[in-house]
Amino acid sequence: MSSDFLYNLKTMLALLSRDLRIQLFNLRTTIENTIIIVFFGYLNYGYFLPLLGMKQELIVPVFLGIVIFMFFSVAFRRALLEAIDLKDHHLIRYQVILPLSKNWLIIKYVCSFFSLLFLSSFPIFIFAKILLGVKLNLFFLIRPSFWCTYLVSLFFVSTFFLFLIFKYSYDWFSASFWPRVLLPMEFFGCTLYTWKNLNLGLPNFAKWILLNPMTYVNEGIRASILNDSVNYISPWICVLVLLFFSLFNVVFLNYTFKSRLDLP
Amino acid sequence: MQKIILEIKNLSKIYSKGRQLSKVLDHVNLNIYQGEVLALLGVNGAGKTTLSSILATLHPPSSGEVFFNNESIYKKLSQYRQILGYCPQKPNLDKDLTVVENLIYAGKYFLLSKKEILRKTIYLLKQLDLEKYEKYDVEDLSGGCKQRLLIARALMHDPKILILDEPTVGLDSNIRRHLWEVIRQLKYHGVTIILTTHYLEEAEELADRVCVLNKGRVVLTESIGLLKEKTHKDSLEEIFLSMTELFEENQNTESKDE
Repeated sequence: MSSDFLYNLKTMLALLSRDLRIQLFNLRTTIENTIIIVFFGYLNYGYFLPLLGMKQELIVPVFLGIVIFMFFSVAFRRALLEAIDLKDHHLIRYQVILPLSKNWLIIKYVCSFFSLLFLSSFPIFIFAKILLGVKLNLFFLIRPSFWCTYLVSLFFVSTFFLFLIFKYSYDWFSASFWPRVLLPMEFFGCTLYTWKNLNLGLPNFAKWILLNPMTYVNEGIRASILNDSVNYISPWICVLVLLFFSLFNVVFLNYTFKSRLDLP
Repeated sequence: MQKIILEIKNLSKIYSKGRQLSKVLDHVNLNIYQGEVLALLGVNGAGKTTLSSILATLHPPSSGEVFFNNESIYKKLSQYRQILGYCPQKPNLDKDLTVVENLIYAGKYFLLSKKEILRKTIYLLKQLDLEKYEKYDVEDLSGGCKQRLLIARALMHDPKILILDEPTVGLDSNIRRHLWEVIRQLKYHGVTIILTTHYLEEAEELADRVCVLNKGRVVLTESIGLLKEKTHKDSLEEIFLSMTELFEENQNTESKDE
């Protein structure tokens, strides 16, 4: 291994240790906030709507959709902080002149985003089990398909948000990203319905939904948690498609990172 | 003869805003000698901050080169950054960390040993009079303390070259004089300092040479003593004011010609 590689790796790990320390410090609040939101999601989709006539078999998949949307919500909050730093605090401008190559710094940002999402989303699955009781068993934790789909989904979300932060201004990101990007992605991304159900009722519309990466996050995690590739898109297909989308994110992130910061 | 530590050759920087191009630096040529304090002077928009940010490798030049010990800094960027300290105009401290943590992490980023980090942290907290603030959150610091912490952070890895971009702007005279003393000590220890400042008194107090920029061009690089001798003026302020008047006259003549 070259000395450059080791030097970059050690510097990146030092930067990452700082991020992890802050994430762990704020973890309790992050988890508590997320649990509150998930709890209200459960009240809505797991209790009131079934009382009003929603089918019982939809409770778990729809509730999982809400849980998965929490990834995006946590990622958005974190992305806002990064966007503020780009606009005002400029800590990133200290980091870019450290003896660390640009690519390693990008890797640090992705890892940091990824770890935050993991730390704040994983406990929600356990909380979901508590809320859903026998409707959800914890065997999914030993399924490789779950871990692959879950981790690739987090990687996709991390690279997606990072790419957008560097692409757009803070003003646009803070005001317009939620209504113009995130909500349509949620609505057209199988969060509150399953793709196969939609395909039965609106097949043409369902084809368009396949262009939305959120569809694969929702469907893949549902299929792997419920171990059901009949009613949902196969998790392995979802992993492949999400890797493909992530590849685009990485390419665009690499470009926007350099052009936004005007780096040598 | 003094050794050249940084050689700037034909450096230009053009920014584009939509369809408009703006030349911020125009074929800058400048040698910076080891151990000197060089003050970059000029009116607002002269290109001082752009030049210092390029030397700090924050931005690339549009054309031209910067050589460190006769080698382009862009060929060995990482090695160059290891000997460089940079204090930007706007403080970019880590607001999630305390004063002492900012220094400890700066040491970690440059892969110093734990022992070395501890030694440097204690030394710099004392040297920059930050001891009583070590547990403070960055947000709770005054402007002067933030500036001192920025300098301390930039010094954690013992840089050979220190770039200070308007380090004393907006600070009261006591703190400014304390920072001057710090800069003098650094010079005494052989650190090459590139100081961007609006305060001519500061440049006169600290700098061995001044480099005056106007509209992105170097119009003068000279030692202060020689400059006074040549212009028969007593202070840098008088020299600078007469130069500024000259620039304005030239600008008016150019406008009329157009």
